Amino acid sequence: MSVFLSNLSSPPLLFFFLGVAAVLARSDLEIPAQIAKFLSLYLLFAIGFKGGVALSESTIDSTMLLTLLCAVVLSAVIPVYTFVLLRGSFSLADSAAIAATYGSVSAVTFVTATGYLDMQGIAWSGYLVAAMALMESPAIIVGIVLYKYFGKQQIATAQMFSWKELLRESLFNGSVLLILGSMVIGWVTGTDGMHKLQPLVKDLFLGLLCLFLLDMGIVAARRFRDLQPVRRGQSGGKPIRLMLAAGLMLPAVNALVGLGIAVFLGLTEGNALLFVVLAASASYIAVPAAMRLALPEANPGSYLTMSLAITFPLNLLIGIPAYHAAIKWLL
Amino acid sequence: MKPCKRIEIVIESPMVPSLIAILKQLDIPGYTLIPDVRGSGDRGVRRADELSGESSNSLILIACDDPSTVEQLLAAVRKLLSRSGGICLLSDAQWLRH
Repeated sequence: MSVFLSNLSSPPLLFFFLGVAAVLARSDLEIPAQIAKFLSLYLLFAIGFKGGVALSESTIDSTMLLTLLCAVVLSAVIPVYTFVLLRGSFSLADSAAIAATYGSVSAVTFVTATGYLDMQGIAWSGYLVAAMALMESPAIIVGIVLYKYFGKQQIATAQMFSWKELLRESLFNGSVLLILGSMVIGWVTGTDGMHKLQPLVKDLFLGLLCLFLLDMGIVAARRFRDLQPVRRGQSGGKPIRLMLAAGLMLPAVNALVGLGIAVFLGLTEGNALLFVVLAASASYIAVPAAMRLALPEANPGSYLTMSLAITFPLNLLIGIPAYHAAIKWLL
Repeated sequence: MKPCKRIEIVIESPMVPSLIAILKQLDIPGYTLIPDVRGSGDRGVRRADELSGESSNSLILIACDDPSTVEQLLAAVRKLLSRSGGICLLSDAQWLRH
């Protein structure tokens, strides 16, 4: 119980609640879009750089390589069983897009989890950042392949995008490129580079994370409000209960799978938590961007809303401390 | 003044390059693009307030005075919209030539 309370009373979480409260109170509080974008770029840059520096200080061992391998395989496998689970309830295109969304990762949830560990003084390794970057893309490809394979009659119309374009979008998506690039720069410049960037990358990190989560609170709460049953005259009511159930169930299932792998790999407490968070989180930047391009048949109102308004807050509020408690109990 | 058709299309932003490619194919040289438009429709509310505009749409405005080109354009646009959702409006307009 104490892990939940200490999580809920941490500054980043409280700022997330402030964002939610602002929407509930119909306040005009808003973070300008370009500044919110800057904050997300900053977080990716800082976490990439920190991970790269940590990587330069450690030696490459078998646990690290095995973890990276498991991370990639996991992000390719999650979409497959997610697709099977959802296929009966959602349309083919929506199932494929949701599967890809949940196979991929949420960088912000990961960053928040590192903040959570830092605040508790629990160590974690830089290579988990590499795992996060590697897990962004495979799910996108698997999602599209699933759609193509099961949607035989739709293939004629689905030919309208090029694989080249999709690969470029999934591998060189801005957020993926920034994390990987910052990580390489952190790795090359090492401790010396960290000395120079420390005020920006370390000292300001939690404060800027707070501001970012304030914005996420606003965005997520608005989405959640949009979930209310549609009024008369507006068409396209989505199965809200279904989205809620799937958005709550999928992270729990994926966390269990991630937990199993983390225990099998013998990861340390901090690393195990980050690995489970990677498994349980759902993308709302890289995957939606790629899906809108390659699979426009899928409704962003389903996959984007589920990951942004349901799974993200769930992981943030309950997920991270719950996974942590489970790991403590198991290790 | 010259009579023409005014075509307004709201479409998912990532589909815009495909639409512009169609315009090029049909030799329609002019269009006006308004990015980051938001609203509500078949696919729910689009707020366009996310980090990298994951739910933003774009509005494209086209004027065309050749009926057969308009027909071809509408056929191609219907194909696009049937995949991604969106709306296409066609109206009579007067083109102020200057």
